[in-house]
Amino acid sequence: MTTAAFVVERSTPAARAGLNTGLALIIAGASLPLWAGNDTMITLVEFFYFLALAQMWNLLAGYGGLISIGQQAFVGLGAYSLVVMAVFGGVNPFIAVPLAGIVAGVVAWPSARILFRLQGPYFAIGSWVLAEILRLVFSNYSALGGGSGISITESVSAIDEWWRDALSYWLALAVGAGSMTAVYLLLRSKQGLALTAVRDSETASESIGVSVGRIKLQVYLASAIGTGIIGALIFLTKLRVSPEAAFSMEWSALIIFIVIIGGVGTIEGPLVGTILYFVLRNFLADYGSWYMILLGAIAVIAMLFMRKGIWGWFAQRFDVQLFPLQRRLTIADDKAPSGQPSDTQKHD
Amino acid sequence: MSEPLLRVEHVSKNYGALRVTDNLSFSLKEGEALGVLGPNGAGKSTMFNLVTGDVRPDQGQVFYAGTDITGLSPSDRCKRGIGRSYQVPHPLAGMTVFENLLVGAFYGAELAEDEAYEHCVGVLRRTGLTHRANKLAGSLTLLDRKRLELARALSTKPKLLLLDEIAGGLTDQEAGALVGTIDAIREEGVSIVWIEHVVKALLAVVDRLIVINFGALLIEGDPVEVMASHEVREVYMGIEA
Repeated sequence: MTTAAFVVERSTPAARAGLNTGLALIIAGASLPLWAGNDTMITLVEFFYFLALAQMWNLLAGYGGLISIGQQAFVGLGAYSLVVMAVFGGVNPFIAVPLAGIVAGVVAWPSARILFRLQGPYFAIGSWVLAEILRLVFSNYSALGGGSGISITESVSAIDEWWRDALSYWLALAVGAGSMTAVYLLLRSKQGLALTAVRDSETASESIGVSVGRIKLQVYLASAIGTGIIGALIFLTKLRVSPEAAFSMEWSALIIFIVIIGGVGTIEGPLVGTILYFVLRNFLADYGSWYMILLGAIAVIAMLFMRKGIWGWFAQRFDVQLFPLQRRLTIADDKAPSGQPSDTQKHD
Repeated sequence: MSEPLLRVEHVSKNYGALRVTDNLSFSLKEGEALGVLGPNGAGKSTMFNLVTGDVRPDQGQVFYAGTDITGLSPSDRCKRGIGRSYQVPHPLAGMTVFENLLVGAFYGAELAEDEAYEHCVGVLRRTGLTHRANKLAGSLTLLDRKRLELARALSTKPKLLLLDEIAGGLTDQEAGALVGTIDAIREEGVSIVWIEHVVKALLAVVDRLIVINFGALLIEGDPVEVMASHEVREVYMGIEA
């Protein structure tokens, strides 16, 4: 058999345009503290950390098939790592934020050994139990403020207010854009190919040499580390850490809402979901409990009629990809367009 | 050198009270093509799952190239050279056909990027899937999904290829083309175990036939003799011996 020339393309013009737009947005976004008001910055900080949290849960559940309802375990661990390092260790809080990810990873490792014995819904409940255990441990640990929590204001007050807000914002931007970039680079790599395979069928992946268990463990650890960093960032901006707030089930509930609405198992889904969540929150905030009822109703409708979320539906309908992940093959001597399968078959 | 490539020894598997594999033993020489027949529910696919590691036996051992692989995961067995297709296709639906193969080339065959691309293009050609390379696997017709099952097994560069009913639903002409493809794979020294109800296609390829009934080995031997035997006539046609 002659080896004909072929080309494997990793990008499309539309996707390159998308990437350039993304880069321009990040650069424009970085200049925001110089001209925007405080309200805008606070909203955007929140936007970035929800985006990053959603991206981490999507990696775990959408790709790894590990449906966790206990991501608040790592949000809380990140928050308390910040407390220990900044309040008790005297570490600059902005440096403590990335270090908090390591703490979350160190706790995630042994917890995985236990949780990975559980399957499907049992894993979900197990992940929640882990978060509850941590919440109770920190509630009863009086050195860290016990149930009423602890303030970190003192550790940050040394920094000038404008710089404090700007640094928090830049850190949030870095976490938000960084989570998108990290997931994008991961999915484009060889490991990403295996991860996507695991998303589609664990049985098939295993049968063609992918060690599904190892991939799941890596994804679980990566997601825990990422979520720990985000947790530290969140409470750096909130200035007060309490077990009820840090280990709150609401973190997982909101993240799951965002990813389900946006599109689970796609890189664009969490972004679309976060935007939608903020739009809804902005318009419905005045309606009290109706707001929560509407969010729930939208989630139910999405799950019934748009199982792949808004982005999943949109991508399928219009065949678009914002982030170029595919490897498109063009064979030089095989220019015959599709539609004549019997032709090709005869020669084989 | 006399060690067979695959040796299944006294393997049994129960699902609750149901014995799906009953003290099954058989072996396969290197380069040999073995056909597997048996009625629906006889435990043929379970036998494959026991060889690939999808299912662990309650008793017995599986040896591959002289090593006991009973405790290995399916992915480790694949890396050692056992490739398989599933009777019910398991496409990686959200990935393109080409990407489906790349996973096997990267992880099963452990090829580097350029080698993997080259290898997968070759597999696409011989399985007649070149014109589908960039289609999402989930959008394929059943026939193309079956082709993908074979192609993806080949992407892992198997030394032992387990085929589970890949000719079902093909026209005579298509089945003929498939026989040609499998024969060519065999010529390259790949050993084959093939479960198939399309007996004509099966007999065109295999050297030896085994028949499984109620999870146990009913008869084994030369294809023509086995097909003419009382046992097979009894199982398939209910003719009294």
